[in-house]
Amino acid sequence: MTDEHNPFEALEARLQARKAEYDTMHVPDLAASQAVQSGIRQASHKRKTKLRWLTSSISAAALILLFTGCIRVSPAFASFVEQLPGMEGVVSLIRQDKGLMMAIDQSLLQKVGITDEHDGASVTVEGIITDESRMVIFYKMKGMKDTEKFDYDIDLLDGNGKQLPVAFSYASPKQPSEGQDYEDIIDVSFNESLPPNQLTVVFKNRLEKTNNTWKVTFPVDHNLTKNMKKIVPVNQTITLDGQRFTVEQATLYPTRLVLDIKHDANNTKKIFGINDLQLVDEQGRAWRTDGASIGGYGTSVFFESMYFSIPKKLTLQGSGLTALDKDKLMITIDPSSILIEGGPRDITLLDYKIQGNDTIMHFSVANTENGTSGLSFTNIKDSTGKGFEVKEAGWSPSYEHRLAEAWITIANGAAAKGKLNMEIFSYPVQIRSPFSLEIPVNK
Amino acid sequence: MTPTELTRAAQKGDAAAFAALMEMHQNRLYRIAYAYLQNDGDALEAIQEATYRAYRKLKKLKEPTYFSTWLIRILLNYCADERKRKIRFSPVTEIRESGRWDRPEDPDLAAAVAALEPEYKQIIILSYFEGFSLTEVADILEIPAGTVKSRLHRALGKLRDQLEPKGEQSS
Repeated sequence: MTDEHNPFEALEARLQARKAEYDTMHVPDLAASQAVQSGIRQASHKRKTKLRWLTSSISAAALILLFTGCIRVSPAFASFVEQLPGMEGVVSLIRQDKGLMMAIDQSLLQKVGITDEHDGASVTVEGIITDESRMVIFYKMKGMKDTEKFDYDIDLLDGNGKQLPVAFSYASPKQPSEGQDYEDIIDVSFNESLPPNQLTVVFKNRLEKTNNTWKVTFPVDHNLTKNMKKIVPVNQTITLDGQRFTVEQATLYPTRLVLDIKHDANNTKKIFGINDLQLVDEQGRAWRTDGASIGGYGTSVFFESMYFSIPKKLTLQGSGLTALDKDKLMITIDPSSILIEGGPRDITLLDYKIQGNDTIMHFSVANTENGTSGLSFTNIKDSTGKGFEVKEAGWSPSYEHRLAEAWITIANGAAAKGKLNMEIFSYPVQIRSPFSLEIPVNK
Repeated sequence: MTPTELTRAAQKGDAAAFAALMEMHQNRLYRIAYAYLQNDGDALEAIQEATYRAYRKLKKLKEPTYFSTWLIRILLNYCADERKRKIRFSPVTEIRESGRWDRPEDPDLAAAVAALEPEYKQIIILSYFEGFSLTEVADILEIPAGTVKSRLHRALGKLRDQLEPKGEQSS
């Protein structure tokens, strides 16, 4: 019989026992801090970061942002850095990156302080940090009207006014608080060339058809980081799930560490990414990776630089692969019947609709357990061979027996004729196979 | 600084103060989200999204002393959100060791709680696992205390029905 006074007494005792398990739940502190940091970063860079590749030779190249293994610089160090006059605001933008903080500490920041001003608005390049591999440009905008509306495109030109063959990322300017300046960074990757001796940053309004542009040209001092590049040969091959890849070398620059990984051409699967990569030193500190450039059979993974704090021992760790059979990469979509030909059996096209000039495709994807990336495509062509680009890719992971879903918006897709051929560029399947490998930075 | 002072500083635009506040709350947020969503990746995603929403809406929080309550509400709203969650391709999780929560002594009860509808699951997590008082739960969920009471009663009723099907009630 149940208790008359408290009909739930037995149940409450069981809930109390469950509470004890709740209280001892393991919280992954590092990952939780990262989630908080990502949320803050996302909020402070309100609109999505733009990635632009101005390079032609890396086809289907992409920068995949992997926010892993981050450690924040100690508050004492951060406050020291913030004391650099005039750069207080921008320094908080790179607080995530220990390597850059140390580079600033080593006086590698080049002050620029050049402004272009007209129509009551100005853009100032405050300073840069650069080496052969990367350049971070700190800039400030002042007096821009309707920042909410204006959407800026940035061009980077060399001394001859030609576009630099680089990849770079920047966030769309957000609305600063009343009376405040807008400060941000442009993060440039030099993969095919070295930074020029003179660089011009062009800010231009994307939406308005006016020729309202701001141009700042400044010299680049190469001497500060001259001969600082260090190459650490590794040449170790790892086989995961029958797929082979070789960690060829690590290149240490003041601003970052670049790990070159080559995939075996005979692999039966295309490797989209190696999961949860991090470098861990002898003290258990993780050196974060902020992006990977993928091109052809290889990957260069960028990590925070430990140039000014070389670990005694450095271990590369990963949890497995995201990969798909090479013969499943191409799919064809027939908009008239909403059917897919080819590709993995787990993808279903749920909807195909035109919205304005764009096309939105809605997919469901089965068997995506533990997949951390979403579904996206590249090399999109219609039946006449006309190319299209993905404008936006949305992803809802599977949970509680629901299938994962993806939304792909194709810019100007309304103009596509006939069937669409697309190559899978990112696919949410994770092959778990943890590994570790020593990187002999200290040899 | 006290949490209230940190909240005030964060509202004035001090990002470090906001980060410190979030750090104080992140374990609790994780546990609530994990108990709710039952998976590490989703729990971390929930923290990220709650952080994002809280940071964006921080200036709208009128009373800084209510930061905790307000933050948990944001998290729960996210968790209960029936709409499809579109996320970026970014979160990468660390390898998680399964703890006692994932290997419950009383698996029937654990499963019954996990299977509750969102409004009942919330209230069990807040009242029994987090140990919030009736009025605190009422503040978090923005419902009258009387409603908390009746909802809690219904949640317990549902759990009992689940665990002891009618006609086989044990003494």
